[in-house]
Amino acid sequence: MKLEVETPRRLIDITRLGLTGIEETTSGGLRIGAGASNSALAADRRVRERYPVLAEALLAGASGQLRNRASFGGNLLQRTRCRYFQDVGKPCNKRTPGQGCSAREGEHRNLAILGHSPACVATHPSDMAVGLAALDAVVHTRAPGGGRAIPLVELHRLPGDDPSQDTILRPGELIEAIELPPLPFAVRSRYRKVRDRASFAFALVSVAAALDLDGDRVRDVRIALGGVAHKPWRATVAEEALRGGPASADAFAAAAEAELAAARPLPDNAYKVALARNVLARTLTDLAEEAR
Amino acid sequence: MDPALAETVITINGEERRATVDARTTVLDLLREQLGLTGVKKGCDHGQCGACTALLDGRRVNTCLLLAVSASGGELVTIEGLAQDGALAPAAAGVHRPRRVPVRLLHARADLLGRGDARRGRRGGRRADRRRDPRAHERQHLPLRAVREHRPGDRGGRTVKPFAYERATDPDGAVATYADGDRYLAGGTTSST
Repeated sequence: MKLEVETPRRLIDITRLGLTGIEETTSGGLRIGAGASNSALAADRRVRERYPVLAEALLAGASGQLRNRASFGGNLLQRTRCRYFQDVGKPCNKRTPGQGCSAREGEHRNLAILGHSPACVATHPSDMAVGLAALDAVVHTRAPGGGRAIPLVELHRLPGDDPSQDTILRPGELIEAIELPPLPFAVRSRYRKVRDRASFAFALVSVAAALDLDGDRVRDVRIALGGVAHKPWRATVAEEALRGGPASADAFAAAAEAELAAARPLPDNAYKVALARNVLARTLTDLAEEAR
Repeated sequence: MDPALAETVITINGEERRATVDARTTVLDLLREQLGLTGVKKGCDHGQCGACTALLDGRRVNTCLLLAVSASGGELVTIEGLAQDGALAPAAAGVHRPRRVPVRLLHARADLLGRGDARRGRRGGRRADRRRDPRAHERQHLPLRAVREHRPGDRGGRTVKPFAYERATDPDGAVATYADGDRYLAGGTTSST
């Protein structure tokens, strides 16, 4: 709003709806109110013990001051930090559909390598959402016609020819809670973020991963990538390549390679392809070594 | 009342303060411009530098990103609130050892620090006047003034556009009251308009 990117006629303050609880679900997961603060969530013992990847992702984002105010639901609905989106003096299809994209030919070092379109190469800025994408989280909404449950990986859209829409939420639809299903092997999970400086910077590339081993083989795995696409990128290709296979550094590297085969980098962000591949392989190798 | 105006009641450093503000006013601007509490500083005004930090309900927050109307009902402690009888309160003194350094020397070379205010009084005129106005050395750039002066269609500076503010108290109420062109504060929505 300070940049006049958003100019609402009316602002409805939803910070006092009482949706701040973090509760156990009957299935053994957690249901987290959309109003819970990022700092409360990162400090919650159940989150830290059962879903460390989420606590790490939360703490990797923003600053202490911001995490105290940032809500769980609001974090998911952050808008891109693409500089052309934020500069109302420059054309941007996301801000004003049909204007064109300044980033393709301009500054795009931080922007997407996967799933982008001619209309938009923006990335989604949230760390937390990447952790949630790996954990199969489900978003519960409330809306005039009744609420619905949306898998987190389907909440955010790829830009296609309408980048103005970040998510599939309808006007007025309100995120009420996020549910984390039980995932026992997530006790061994990790969020690794690569950025230009040590703290308070958005991810160039980030990896959220959880690994379940059966001896030297991969029984199950969850992987999501951040900083690479218009949405948290669930790495289903790499997951598929790994399940049932050997838990070796070579296998991890091959799976990462397979996931990044779909990358279409722009001239100035080609480095992200190798970076994502290496960080993903390294994170999985570290998780496997810790398990042994 | 003008729909862009709203009442806010915040307990600031233990004292209940009531103000009618333009809904665009941040807690930072309320503190500095209306209440004369200039311990919070306007650095970036975008939540990055942290110079505006204060405690809201015991937690540190960026006051530049907090609407005064949204903070209504809260308890705020600024750096001024750490003082007791003109000195640092005991609890704060346990963390911060007091040391008095003139603000304008904070960025000076270390060897000048000892000399402190030796130069004070040698200069008259505007500089001395500035010293007497505690805020003169930190004159703010456009956004502060712009919030007060903004008129529809005014392109004089980058400002927040006026909006009406409403607080929802329950989820169903929030959903029911939503209309085209609205936005949720803290929860967003990327609806088209």
